[in-house]
Amino acid sequence: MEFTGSVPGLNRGEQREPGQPRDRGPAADLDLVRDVADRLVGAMTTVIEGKAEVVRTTVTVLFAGGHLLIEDVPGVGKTMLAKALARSIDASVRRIQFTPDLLPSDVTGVSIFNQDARRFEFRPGAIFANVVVGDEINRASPKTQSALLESMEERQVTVDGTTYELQAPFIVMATQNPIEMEGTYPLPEAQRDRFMARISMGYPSPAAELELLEVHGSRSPLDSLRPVTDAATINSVVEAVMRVHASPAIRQYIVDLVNRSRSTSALRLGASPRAGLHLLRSARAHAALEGRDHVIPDDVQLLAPAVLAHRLMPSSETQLARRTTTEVVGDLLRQVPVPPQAR
Amino acid sequence: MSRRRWRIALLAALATLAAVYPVTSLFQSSAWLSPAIVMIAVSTGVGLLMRGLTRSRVLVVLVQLVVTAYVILAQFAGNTFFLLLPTISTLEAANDYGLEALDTLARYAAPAPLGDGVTFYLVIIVTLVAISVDAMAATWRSPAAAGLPLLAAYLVTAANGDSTLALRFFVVPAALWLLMLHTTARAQFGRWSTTSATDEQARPVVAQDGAAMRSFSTGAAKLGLAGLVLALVVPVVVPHFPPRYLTEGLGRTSGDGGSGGSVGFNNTIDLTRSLNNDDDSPVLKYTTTGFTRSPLRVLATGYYSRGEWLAVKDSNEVGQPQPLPPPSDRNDYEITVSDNTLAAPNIAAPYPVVAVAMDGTPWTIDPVTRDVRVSQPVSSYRVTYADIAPLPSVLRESGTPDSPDIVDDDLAVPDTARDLLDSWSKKVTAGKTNPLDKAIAIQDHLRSPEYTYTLDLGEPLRDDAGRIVEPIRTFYETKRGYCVQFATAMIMLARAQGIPARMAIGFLPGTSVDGKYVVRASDAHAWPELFFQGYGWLRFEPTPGARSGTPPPYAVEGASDGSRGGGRAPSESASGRATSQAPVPSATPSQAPATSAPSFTDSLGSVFSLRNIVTALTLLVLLLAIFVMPITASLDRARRRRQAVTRQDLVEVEWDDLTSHLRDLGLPAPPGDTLRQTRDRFIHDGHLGVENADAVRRVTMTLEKARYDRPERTSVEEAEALHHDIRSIRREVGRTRASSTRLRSFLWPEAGVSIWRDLPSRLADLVGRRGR
Repeated sequence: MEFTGSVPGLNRGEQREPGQPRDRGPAADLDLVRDVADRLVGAMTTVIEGKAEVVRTTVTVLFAGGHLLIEDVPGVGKTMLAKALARSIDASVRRIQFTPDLLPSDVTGVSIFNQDARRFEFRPGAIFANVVVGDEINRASPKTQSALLESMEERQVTVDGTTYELQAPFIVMATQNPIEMEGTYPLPEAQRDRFMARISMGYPSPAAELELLEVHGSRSPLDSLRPVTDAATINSVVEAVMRVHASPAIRQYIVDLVNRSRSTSALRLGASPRAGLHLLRSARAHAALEGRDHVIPDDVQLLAPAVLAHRLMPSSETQLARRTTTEVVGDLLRQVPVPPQAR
Repeated sequence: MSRRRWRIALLAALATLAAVYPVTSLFQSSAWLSPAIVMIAVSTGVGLLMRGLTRSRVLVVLVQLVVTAYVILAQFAGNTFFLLLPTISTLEAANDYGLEALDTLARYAAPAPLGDGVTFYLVIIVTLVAISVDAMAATWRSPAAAGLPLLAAYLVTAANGDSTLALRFFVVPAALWLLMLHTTARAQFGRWSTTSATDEQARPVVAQDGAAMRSFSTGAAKLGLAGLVLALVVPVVVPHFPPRYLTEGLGRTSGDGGSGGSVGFNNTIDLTRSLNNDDDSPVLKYTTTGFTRSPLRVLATGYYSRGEWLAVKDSNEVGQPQPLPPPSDRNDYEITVSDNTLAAPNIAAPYPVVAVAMDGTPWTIDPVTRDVRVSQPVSSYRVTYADIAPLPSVLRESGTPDSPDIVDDDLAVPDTARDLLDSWSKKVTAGKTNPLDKAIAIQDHLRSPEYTYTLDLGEPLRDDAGRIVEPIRTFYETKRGYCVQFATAMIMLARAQGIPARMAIGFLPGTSVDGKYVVRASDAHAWPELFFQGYGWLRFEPTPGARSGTPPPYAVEGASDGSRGGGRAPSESASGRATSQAPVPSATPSQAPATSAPSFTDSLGSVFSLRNIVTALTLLVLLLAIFVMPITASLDRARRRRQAVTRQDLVEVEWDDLTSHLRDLGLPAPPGDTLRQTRDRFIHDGHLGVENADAVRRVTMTLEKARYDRPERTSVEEAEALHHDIRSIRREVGRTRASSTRLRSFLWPEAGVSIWRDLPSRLADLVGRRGR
């Protein structure tokens, strides 16, 4: 187990940064969002090369106030992506290396008896940070996983009857190996559902790989990465994203998609209502990233595979056909009409 | 402006000229040609100029039309201009020209004299042809289509001309047209080749082009071959219908080949078929020694029964006809007939025949009617005939008719019309004392403007019981008819006054061609013969109009010419080609119900006959049936536009309009596609140019805003601006599609079809809701 990053701060809600004033117009909101997004993407691209889409989805999820699950085979830069985002934001960052012997209290914190003060004091765990990088999350025991994942959704930690709120922004970026790898405990569906999106890195292109060998051969580019924004700005960006307009048609579209995933025979388990919520939030963030103050179906379609695929369970026919849930989501997108439909 | 455009425009002008040049053969003078050439040059020049100035093709054509119209009016009616502008009197002048031209067309067969009116309209027609050829070949750059106006111009001559057109009249415009095609195609291929960038890349492209060219030319060759085969096979397979009613026996009801037969006095079987005859081939040609030309009589009959004139069955009476007046009272002339195609046993000759000379063919003469009969067709013969021209004063003195030439039939009046004929003839002949004056009164009465010459009799009248009334009664009521009706009326009126009368049937003297008179089937005619003691049967001419004979001198009252001008202008042209339609004797099922196209002056009344109304209604219903889908679609669209409350609704209606049209054109928008995907699909699959790609982007942006942005942000202007963009997109996508697809999309739009398809279920819904 290893702790990195800045000094852990203990935020209990009342200390939350006030953020930017709320009465700015949507244009100013959008300018802010795009500005921050451009800077973040620019910074991260210096580290993660040739993966513009992945970087963009990462930023989208950050802006949407969600958590990110990065799933791929070892060595393609999952951790690098998470660390790059963490380094780009001037905020408290914690990294947790999940191992089989990691305990829940290491994550959430523990009350210990202070001899001098003669009382119990709460020692916050690794989760008390703006950006939490959970490395190889499926190597920890389910017990520890649950400790992390429950705090992800509620954004608070309860230890010994006392509830401690987490800081805002709060983003967990967990990496995991595909479940076929040895020595892993696959995440239960209920816990996968808490991640807003799952992305996979994929192998870099030969050119990017060559570049990587040249640059990384001498020193890690992470070292030269400087923060380009701070926690307060991210907070106001997240608020701005929440104000992006989602028309009734878009909401209907998301409901249609989610409902179709529950009725299709290709899936054993469809998307949860939370999945629909996540889809809407991420679509809002994406719209804002594109400089729009309203969501269009393209936003939804673009994010649906990342947001939905990891929550769905394929039916046995789909498994036999060796089709992934991502492909099933693609089918759903083709089948579900984009409202409003003619007549 | 490139040289090629010059060349196309020049070729178009030349082709127009070549296509209209044969019209010179239709008129006696070619004076129309030079103003026509000037107008072709003007329209071509204006076209060239405008194409250099503007990109709007419609504007080019409009300017051409306006400029040429002005020039023509200035040229022909410039004296009516005020401040260099046409005035109302210019229109009047144009109208006068039109009436004059109509009159000329109605009066004369080709070659017709060239009046100002005809020149005026010829120049207008030539200019229109020039503009349309120029528009298609140069403005729209599709010279293939320019073949149509060229062909139309050529056919004007081919269809109206007297004789077969020389081959060069066709070959020259056709060659010019092909040259236009060639030039344009060269230009288009030339544009392709300039796009290849480098030699290496060009090679496969060129190879593909070669394949495309080969398939292109193979297709063209196949088409050409098919056209050639059709051109050879169709005339062989489709039977000809040479209009030979006259040549097979005049007015015969059935081809029984016998000498008997009936000459109808109704509107089904009678001379109309011959009068309507489009056939140009002569029935016979003749030369005569006479100064005046008499009609050629074929047969005469006095037997009238139930509305029809029936030729008396082979008269077995043998004998000599009554002697003619002494040679001192008559002049004998000789007529030499050649190329006779009239079927045996009849031959045509002026009445009365004095002597007949045929090479070895036996002939007989009917002692009563003096019809000459032959036992076998005879190609040429010579007839000596008498011109009996008694003085009116002498005729007035002629005694009571009493001669073996008169049979009972010659005084018979149909019982059903006796009352009418009595009162009618009394009224007409009031104050006249002798037979000649009575006859002239009757003739002039029938030639008065009260009566209308027309081949279209309309529906026969019926009495209360629904029976067709006696045709004479019908004629009395409608006052419309052609020679048979007029002749019958005169005969019956004369008989009612006690003058023996009979029907003669034959031909008008025909037209002069190359020193010979040519008689055509359309020259068929019927006239009455009245008997005057001492002079025999004398011809009268009660039929008004141009297609009629001139009354003989004794039948003209006094010296005045008044009676001759009494008739109205005929309702069809002298040659019968321009306005009347050839009846089709047997199977051509595609032929529309034969209603002869009436000229607008005379036939306004007959337009509203029952048959025409039924035909029009049927046509209307058919048209509606054909266009029911487009009409449904457009009504539905209009309904939805009306019902659109918000701007969003309006935008959606427009979008539906676009997507359903493009779906019909084979560009579907899958339901799972977002607007942007649909947009990209339209741009790519619709092969849209830059302008319309932008239009699609504008449309989708507006729609996206309307659908997904805050509602208040869509302005009404934006919603309404869509309409224009959508039309432009539809047009461009339509252009890239096959014409069959476009036709189907027009006649069978999904937007209309779906409404009819859903109709049963919607009705069921409605009934269900009512029932509840």
